[in-house]
Amino acid sequence: MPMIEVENLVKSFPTATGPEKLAVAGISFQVSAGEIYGLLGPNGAGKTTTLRILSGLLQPTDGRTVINGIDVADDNRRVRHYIGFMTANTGLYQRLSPRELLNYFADLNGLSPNVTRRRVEELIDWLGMADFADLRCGALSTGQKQRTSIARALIANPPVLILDEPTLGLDVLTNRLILDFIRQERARGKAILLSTHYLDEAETMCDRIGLLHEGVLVAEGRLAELQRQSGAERLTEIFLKLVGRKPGDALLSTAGEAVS
Amino acid sequence: MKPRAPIMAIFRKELIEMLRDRRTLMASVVIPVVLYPVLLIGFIRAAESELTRLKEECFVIEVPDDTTRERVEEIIQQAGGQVEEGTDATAAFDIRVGAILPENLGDEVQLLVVLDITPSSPPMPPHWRIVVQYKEVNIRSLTAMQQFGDLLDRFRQDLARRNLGDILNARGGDEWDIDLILNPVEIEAESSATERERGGWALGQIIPLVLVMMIITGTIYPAIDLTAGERERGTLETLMTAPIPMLHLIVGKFLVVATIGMITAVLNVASVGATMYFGGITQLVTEQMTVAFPFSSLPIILVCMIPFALLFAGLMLAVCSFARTFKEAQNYVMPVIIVALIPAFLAVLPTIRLEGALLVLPVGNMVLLTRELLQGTYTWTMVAVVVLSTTLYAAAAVAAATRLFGQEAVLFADAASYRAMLHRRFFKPTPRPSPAQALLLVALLFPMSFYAQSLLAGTSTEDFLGTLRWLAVVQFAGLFIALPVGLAVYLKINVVETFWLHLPPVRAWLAAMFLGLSAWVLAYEFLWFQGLFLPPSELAEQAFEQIGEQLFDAPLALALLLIAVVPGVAEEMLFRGFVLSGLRDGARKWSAILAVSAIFGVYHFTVDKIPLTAMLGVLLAYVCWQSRSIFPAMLFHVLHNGLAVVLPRIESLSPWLEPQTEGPMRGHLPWPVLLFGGLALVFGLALLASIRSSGRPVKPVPLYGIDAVSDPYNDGNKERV
Repeated sequence: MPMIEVENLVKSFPTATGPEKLAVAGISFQVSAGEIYGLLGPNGAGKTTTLRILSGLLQPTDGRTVINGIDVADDNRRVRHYIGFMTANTGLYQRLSPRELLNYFADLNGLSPNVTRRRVEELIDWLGMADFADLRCGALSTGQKQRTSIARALIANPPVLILDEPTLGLDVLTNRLILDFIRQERARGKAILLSTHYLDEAETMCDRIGLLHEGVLVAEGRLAELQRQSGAERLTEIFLKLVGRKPGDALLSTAGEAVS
Repeated sequence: MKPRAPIMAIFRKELIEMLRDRRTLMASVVIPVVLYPVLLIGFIRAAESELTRLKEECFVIEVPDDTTRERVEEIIQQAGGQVEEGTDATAAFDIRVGAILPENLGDEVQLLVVLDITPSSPPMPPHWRIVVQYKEVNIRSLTAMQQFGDLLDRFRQDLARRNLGDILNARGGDEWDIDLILNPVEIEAESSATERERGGWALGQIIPLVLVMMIITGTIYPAIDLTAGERERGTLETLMTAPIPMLHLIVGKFLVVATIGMITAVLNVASVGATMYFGGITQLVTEQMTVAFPFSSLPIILVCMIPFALLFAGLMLAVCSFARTFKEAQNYVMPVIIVALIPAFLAVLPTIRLEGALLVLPVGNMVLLTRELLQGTYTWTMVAVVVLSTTLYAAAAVAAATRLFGQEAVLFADAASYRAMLHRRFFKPTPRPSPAQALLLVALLFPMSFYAQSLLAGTSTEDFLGTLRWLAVVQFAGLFIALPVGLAVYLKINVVETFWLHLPPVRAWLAAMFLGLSAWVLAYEFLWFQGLFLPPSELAEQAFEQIGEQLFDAPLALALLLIAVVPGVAEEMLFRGFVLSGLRDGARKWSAILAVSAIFGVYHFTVDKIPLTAMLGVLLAYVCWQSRSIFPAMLFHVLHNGLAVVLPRIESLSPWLEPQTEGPMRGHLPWPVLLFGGLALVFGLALLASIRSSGRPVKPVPLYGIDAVSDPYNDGNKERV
């Protein structure tokens, strides 16, 4: 059963002077439990907007998003219980320690103190955070912050993970640690939606890939399918080839068929 | 163990984080506790010593010629002053001959003295004319003038005494007591103020403004940090994905801001108060009289300050919610503070008292109330009106903050220009106003309506009907009907839905009629009961009687129109229409009904009227809610008010309605009235309760921007559907 279902999602922003700005122009995809779905695209393609709509931060202009069988429009708050969302900017509270931060978000998620204690220790252990769990977040390195951020998204053990650029600006070691951890979460049956710039990372990590360009999903499928469709080997080439052929609509219709 | 409630979790975390911030500690603790005493005492000491130094200086007097020089020297010496060498306590004067221009007076030469002595015919002594030129904008010249002036005064008195002595001696005869002649009237003024009153007066000059300013200052930094700061640091996005309602988020933050504002204010006031008291400044203000600190007022002041801290916490949050960065927030905050301080400074003027329109002037009323409390000249009506109006403004501010905080345009920089939010073409049509809109309207109307009612109370009771006509147009037709309806149309809010303009079931009409005809019995008994705790003021009763007589004499149709129909219709449109509809989405059924009734009560301003109107408000709101229509509530209201006009006119009824004069039920209405009134009331309520299930389905309305659609506060919807 798909944990994330997106149907004809549209988001436009009002502007004071001109016409509305179309950020997401009707995209559809699904992510199942135990699957990593990669949303790829250049800056401004609409990745972050899509993820924000899924996590209930933005209201879609049109279309449906269903998480774990519940329409976001029907019960926004309940849906948030099912989602662990990690933003791209790893905003942490500078004057709290990772442990305090995790406790705080456990409270916000309505976890009981016993569950919280167990879960916090578990995450600190899994992500190797013991060394810095009691330092102030302001004093942490980028990698440590990123680990804290992932732990925060996972505090309530949600079935759906939405990760916006989880490996942005990380060193090799932390990068490996985080990617391994994401794979582990997949093995635990989570539905994982991640966005990234790093095409090679997407190649190795994602079960399925959606290529987003100017608010439109230009292609979607397993890496092999995309290779077959485009006749190119590497994801970078595939992407350039597909995008380059816009607005020749032949490709769009292929992508549309793949989705339906 | 149960999980921690989200609001408490937010409150606790934000407080910890704020207290760990050195900037907060600096602004709220270190500055008041250390800096103020040092600054205040240091400044006063410095000023004192500088003045003393000036007084001991040698001042230069310029005179036109040697004769004048000798005369001036003589005057100074005769009056006990020093020429050239100064001693510790007195000034000395260096007299020089020259001819300087008056405009050159200043640091080098401080005074210019010219003498003119005109002879008169004996026994009259010669007439002295002394022209002294000085420059009051030069502190040295001014001080020289003061010193020299003192000497001249003494010289003049001596000369007068001597001359009078000479004249009287020349006449011969009895011994004259010259002092008695020169001072035929002796005046002794004694202060009747107690030490506590003097202390309160002295503190009342400074403390209220400090208190209010410090609460405002104390809220600025946390408000910016918890909204725009959090947004800028990128933590807000994460926080907003947590499964908690926007309202909890804002309320948690809001309580922290208010708490820090209170802490700052309390520390500041304690520090300033202690500095004034121990630093001897109170004595300075009260001219060396003994003072006592008005400790007994402190608890009330602190309690009154709570809604004020809430108001500014809400206001600052609302303003900062609009900003995306710390800097932007600071820019928004400054003008707000300046605007807020204008009434505060107006209220500091010593002649202004807390009365009339000032009672509801935001900020100003709190400054004045604090002063009245310190000086012990307050009344409980004052306290109630100020605290209630401030609470109302605070609620509106928080509601506005909640609304703004969740705007996606404000939340994300890339979500297009937030200025677009203000364009009407982007307003989404809504079936009902939001709680924020309802509370804002109420807060805005409150002072306006207060001014209108003050005018009514202000005019003599002679032309009560004339004032009523004016009030019907301005307050009722204008403020209570035209404004809410206009606002609804402008904001694209569905007018029919908002003002419950549906046809009600027949049972609702019946119920309204029964309630309208019997509620006065309840009101009478309620007032009797209230009288046990809160005896009605004689003044109010007199005024009420006078008004009653005028109404009695007025044409029936006019009296009914002005007392029953216009207020009945207008108050329903505003309170049960716009406000109740707005609160419908923010609260459960009974919370909404109670809230709107409390507001309805507060709108009647005088303390003894509030409970009764609030109670009737509950009935009216219940009628409206159950029947899903405004019309039965209007009927109820019009009938109820109409009976007050009609019943006194039907003389044959009066023996039936006279309160009992003996027995255990003395003072109550007669038995038959109580019985039938009670039955009608119960029957009406039962009829209403029976139409519970037949309400028309209500579509849920988006609540706070993004956090719409479903909300625990929206449970009322489920009940209705």
